[in-house]
Amino acid sequence: MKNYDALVEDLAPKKFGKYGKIWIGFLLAIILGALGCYIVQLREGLIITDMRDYALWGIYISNFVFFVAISLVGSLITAILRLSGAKWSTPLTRIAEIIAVAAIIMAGLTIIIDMGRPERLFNLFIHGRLQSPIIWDVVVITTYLVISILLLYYPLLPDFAILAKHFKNAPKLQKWYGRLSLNWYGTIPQQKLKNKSIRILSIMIIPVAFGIHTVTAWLFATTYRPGWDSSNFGPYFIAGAFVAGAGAVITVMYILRRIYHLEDYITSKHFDRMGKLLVLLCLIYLYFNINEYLVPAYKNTVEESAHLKGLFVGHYAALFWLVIVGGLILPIIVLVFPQGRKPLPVFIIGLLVVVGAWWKRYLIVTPTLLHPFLPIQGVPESWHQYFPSVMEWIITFGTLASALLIITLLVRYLPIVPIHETAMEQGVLETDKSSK
Amino acid sequence: MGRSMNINFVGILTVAFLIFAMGEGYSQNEKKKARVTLAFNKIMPKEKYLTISAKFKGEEGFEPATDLLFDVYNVLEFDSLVKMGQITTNAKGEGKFNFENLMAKNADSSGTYNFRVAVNDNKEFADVEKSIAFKEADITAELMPMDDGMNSIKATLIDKYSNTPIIDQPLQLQVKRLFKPLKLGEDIITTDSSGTIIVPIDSTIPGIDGNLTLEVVLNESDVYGTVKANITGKIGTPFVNQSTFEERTMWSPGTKTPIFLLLSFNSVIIGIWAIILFLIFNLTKIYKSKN
Repeated sequence: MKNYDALVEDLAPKKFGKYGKIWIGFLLAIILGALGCYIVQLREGLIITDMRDYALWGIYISNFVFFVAISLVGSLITAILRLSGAKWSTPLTRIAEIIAVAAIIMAGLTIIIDMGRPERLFNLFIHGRLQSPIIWDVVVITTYLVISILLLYYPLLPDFAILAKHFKNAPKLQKWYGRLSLNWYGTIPQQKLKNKSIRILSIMIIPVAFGIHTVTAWLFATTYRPGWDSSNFGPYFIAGAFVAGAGAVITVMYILRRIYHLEDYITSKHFDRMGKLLVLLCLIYLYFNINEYLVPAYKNTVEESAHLKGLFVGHYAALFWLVIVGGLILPIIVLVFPQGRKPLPVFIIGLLVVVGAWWKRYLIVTPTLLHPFLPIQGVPESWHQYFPSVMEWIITFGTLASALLIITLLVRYLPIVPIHETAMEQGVLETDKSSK
Repeated sequence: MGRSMNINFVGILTVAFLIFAMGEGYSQNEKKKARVTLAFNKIMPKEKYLTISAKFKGEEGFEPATDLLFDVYNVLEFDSLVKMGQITTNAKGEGKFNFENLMAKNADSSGTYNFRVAVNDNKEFADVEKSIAFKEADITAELMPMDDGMNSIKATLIDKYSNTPIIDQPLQLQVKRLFKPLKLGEDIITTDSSGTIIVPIDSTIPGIDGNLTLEVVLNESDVYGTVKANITGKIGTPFVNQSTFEERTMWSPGTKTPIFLLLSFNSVIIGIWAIILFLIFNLTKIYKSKN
């Protein structure tokens, strides 16, 4: 077991190396390209996309749903595992919270990107109808963002105090960490306030997280269309979000573990447990998938039939089966075996799950829009199909790169593994050490 | 020299005449041929008009002959014509010629009116004429209460010229509605020996304040054209306005949000944000906390 100083040294944020800088440059290049395209979109309107009267929601909305799904991981790892007393998840909580904050910020921005006239965003608040799930979504996203930031910030207070002391030789960092620690001395009243607040946040974030994704699901389910007309859409989306979020945590924790040499803190045991958790989540999600496709297929109405045919054997069949098999069934098979829950296989599966989760949202949004109950008359043939334009792709990659940039920058300045909690769990915390 | 010039001059005149004549013949052949239908309509007590419908066979089937000017003539004895006026077809190829004063002098000795419409010298359409002959009939209608509390309508059809009942003629009974009339009954009701029909009216038909306007129609009779009589009475069920326009519903504008939604949504949001503010306040307490 490491002593306190070694532990702080291990877990304190580190400067970017050569590859870190290249990574930042790479992300910035994508973001700048996306910004350029977005300026064109602002000037010329959504006509630069391939969205038309049929596919009025395209890649932007599927990307938005993906971000919302990923953001749910904050509540899963941090809140649910914390409340259930699963101590093993401590080294993963910060990663989960960082991913949640990055994803929810980008979810909000992606909605604005999807708006044809973003300068009229304020009208949404002035003229919005409380009856519309879109308003509920706006409110719940804002609320979830604030809660996620608080849930990230509260456990950081003692860590900031520790870092302020650790970075004695870097006055600027020391000053900032000192300010952010809010005069944390680790006193009993402070401890009590912190623990109580984290507990309240952990409880509160669960219904809000469920709310955010349920409301997002209602955006679809309250619209009478084949593929969306389901009373089960809320739980279906939540189950899918947990899968996507767990996959994202596994992917990020593997990469950070490798880069920052955190093998002593994020161990094979964590991958094994996250693997088991992912199997459980995948099985639940598979159940919901069967439910979502089997019932409409059994009823086989004309419109549902056309929609399902497109997914099962039609235009979207290859993508659909890749997503179901590669992003859901294969992970279950691999992760059931202990060998499959070793760090590298779990990482590969986690990556597959995340990519599958992204395309799954695309499959939820697009094919349905192409098969409305009431076909639109007199539109060009090309409007019956949808595939994102180059500019849509670049802007979307820009949002994904932005999320990764937020994660990267937070990882640069925040301890990836909670120092204070880890030290406490390992019994090496010296109370006076956490004070200034 | 002078003789040959004369020959040339005559030759040029001949060729010019032939070209002109051929050209005229060619343009006549190219003119569209309008198909015209005429119908006489009478709405009791006084409104009488002739409807003219003109079509031609175009590239996409029968198309309306629009802006076609018709002269309307009254054909009197010995085939003498009296011009009554003119009417131009609208975008649907239809025109309505009102008879302001249709009197006995316009009819022949049997009480039959003969009219002819004609298109002459139209640039686009070839000359065409169409005739119609009709007699004038009247329908009188009255509402009668029945013993069981229901109402019935009694309508009588008479020949105006001879003032005799018209028997065995089918009459259609319908309720006047905004777009299309609501036809009552599926069976054809024919007039009896006194030219009369009596039909009970279902009292459940909705109308504003219970008012119904019933129409008795002699439809497209070969002899009398179309004759219609209206009668209004409080014989239906008062219409209950079920519009939710003024109510607070899920489909109302933002200013009419249902109270339950306002209360539940806002209380949840206020509750959550109160806790968030409390947690932010806790941060300030941590900041200010001393040993």
